[in-house]
Amino acid sequence: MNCEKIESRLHDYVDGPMSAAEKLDIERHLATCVNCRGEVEFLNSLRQQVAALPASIEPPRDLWPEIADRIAPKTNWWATVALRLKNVFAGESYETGNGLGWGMRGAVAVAVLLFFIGGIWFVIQTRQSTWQVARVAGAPQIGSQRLVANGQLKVGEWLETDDSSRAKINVGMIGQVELAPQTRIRLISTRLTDHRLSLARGKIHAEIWAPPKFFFVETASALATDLGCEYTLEMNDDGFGRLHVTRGYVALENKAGPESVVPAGAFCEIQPNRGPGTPYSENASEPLRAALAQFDFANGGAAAISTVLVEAREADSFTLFHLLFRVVPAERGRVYDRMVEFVSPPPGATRAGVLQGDQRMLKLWADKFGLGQSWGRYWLPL
Amino acid sequence: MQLIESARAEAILEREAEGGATTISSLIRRAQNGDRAAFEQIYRENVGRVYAICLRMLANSTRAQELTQDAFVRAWEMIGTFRGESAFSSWLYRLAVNVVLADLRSKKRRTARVMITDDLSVYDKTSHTANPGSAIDLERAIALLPERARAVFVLHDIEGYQHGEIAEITGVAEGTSKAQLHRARKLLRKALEK
Repeated sequence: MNCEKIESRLHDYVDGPMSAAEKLDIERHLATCVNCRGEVEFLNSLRQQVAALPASIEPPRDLWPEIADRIAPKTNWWATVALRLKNVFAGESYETGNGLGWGMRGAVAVAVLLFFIGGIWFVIQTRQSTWQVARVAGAPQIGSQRLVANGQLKVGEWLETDDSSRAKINVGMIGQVELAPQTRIRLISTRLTDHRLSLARGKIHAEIWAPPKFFFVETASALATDLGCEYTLEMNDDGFGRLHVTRGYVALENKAGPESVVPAGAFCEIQPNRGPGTPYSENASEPLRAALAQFDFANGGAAAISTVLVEAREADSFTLFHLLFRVVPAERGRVYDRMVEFVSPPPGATRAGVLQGDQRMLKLWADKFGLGQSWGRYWLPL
Repeated sequence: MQLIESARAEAILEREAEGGATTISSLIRRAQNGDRAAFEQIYRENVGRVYAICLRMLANSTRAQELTQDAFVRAWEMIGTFRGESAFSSWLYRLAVNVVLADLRSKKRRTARVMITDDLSVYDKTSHTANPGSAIDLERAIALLPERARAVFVLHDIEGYQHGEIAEITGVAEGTSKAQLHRARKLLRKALEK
C-alpha cells in the first residue's frame, strides 16, 4: 500500500468509525511508514488542541440593545382603536359583555378619542422610524433590494454601496448622511433624541443640524457623537478609521481609552482596542502626525511627545490641550509650557492649578478652545 | 469563562431539578409567549457560544457580531417552531450556523469581503486552556484558512457535525466536505509547524 493511496484513509482512521479489517490494514502500513505515523500523530494532536479551545468567546461589546430594538413588538394600533370604537358604538363592554350607561359611554368615548389621537401620533412616530434613502449613483442595496430611485431604511436594515454606487439618507428631520462607494451601514435607532447608525465599513459624510447629542455613529472601535456639526468618518473592516470634522465638534469615545473631542478642521485616528487618537489639525506637519501616532498607538512615550512639542504650531494648540489629559503627570509641565507659547491662559487659570488638575481651571481652558460644551461628559479628570 | 458557564449551566440544572421557575424550558416557554426578558436571559446564556461559532467561521469580528445579532433575531422569530425535539442549544447553534452559511453563500458578501483577521485580540477574552499560547496559534491558523475549508473544519472538528450533516446544510456532496476537511487539516499542519 503506498502513502498517497492511504492518505485520505488516515483521516477516517483517526475520526472513526472504521471496520476492524480496514483498521488492521492501516496499522500494518503505519508500522512500516514513518511519514504516515507522523501524519496520524499530528491529527491526534490537532484533535487534542481543538478539544482544548474554549467553547465560548465573549463578544467585544454587548450585542443585546440592538437585538432588543429589532425584536420590539410592532402593534397594530389601528385595529385596536377600531375594535374599541365598535364596542363603544355597539354599547358593549368588551370586558364584561354588559351594556354601558350614557355617562360611562361618554367617558369611554373621550378615552377612545384620546387613544385615537395617540394612535395618530404613534403612526407619525412610526413613519419617522424609517429614514428616506435616495440613490445618488449606481445601485445601492437596502438588505437584498436594489435601490432604483428612493427607498426607506428601517431599524435593523442594512444599506450598502458597491464600487460604483452612492446613496444619501435623510436622518429624520435632523440632517443628512451620504454614503461613499464600498460602504455598509445599519440603522440602529430612530428615537426622538437618539438617531443612531452603525458603520461597518466604508465612508460617510454627515451633516447634522440638530442640537448636540442627537446623532450617533457606532463603529467597531469607537462611538462618534455629533455635537452639532459636519464630518466625514471612514472605517475599514479591521476597525481602523479616521474622522475628519469640517464644522462644529464631534466626540469620539470607547471603553479602551480617553475620549477625544474633535473640532472643525481636525482629524482623529481610530484604532481597535485603543481609545481614539489625539485630534490634530488639518495643517499639522507630517512629523507631528507621525509622532502622535507613535504616542497614541505604539507606546511612543516621552520621545514622541518631544517631537510633538518641537513640531507644534499655533494651530496645534488644541492638540496640546488634549495631550495634557493623556501624558503621564511628569510630562504635563512641558506640554503646558508649549501650549501657552501659542495661547495666553484664560483669566483665573494658573499653571500650578492646571497641572494639579483643577477642574474649574481646566474648564476655563476648554472654553478657550471652544470645547466647553463637552465638558464633564467627555473629559476625564487629570 | 468555561468555568463560569459550567457553573451557570449547573445552576440551571439545579433550578430545573428543584422545579424552580427559571429553568431553560420555562424560559423558552415564556419567550414563545413573547416575553422578551426571558429571551434576553436565553441570549445571555448563549451569546458566547453563538459568537464563537460566527467568529471562527467568518474570521471577522465585526461581521461575527452582526451575524450573532441576526442569529438571535432569527431565533426570536422562529422560537415558536421549537418543539423540544432536540436540545434547545443544538437548535440555536444550528440556526446560527445556517445564518453564517447563508451569509457565506451570498456572492456579494464574498466579493466584498477582503480581509481575514489576524487580530488576535478578538480571542483575548476566551477562557484559558492548559496551553494558551498554542490555542492562540491554532485560532490564528484557523482564521487564515480558506473560507470553505475553514467552515467545514469548524463544523466538523470544533462543532462536531458529521459529514452527512455538513453536506446537508451546506449543499455540497459528502465527499467534498471530506476533501475540504482534509485540505484544512493539511494547511493547519503547515501553519502550526512553521
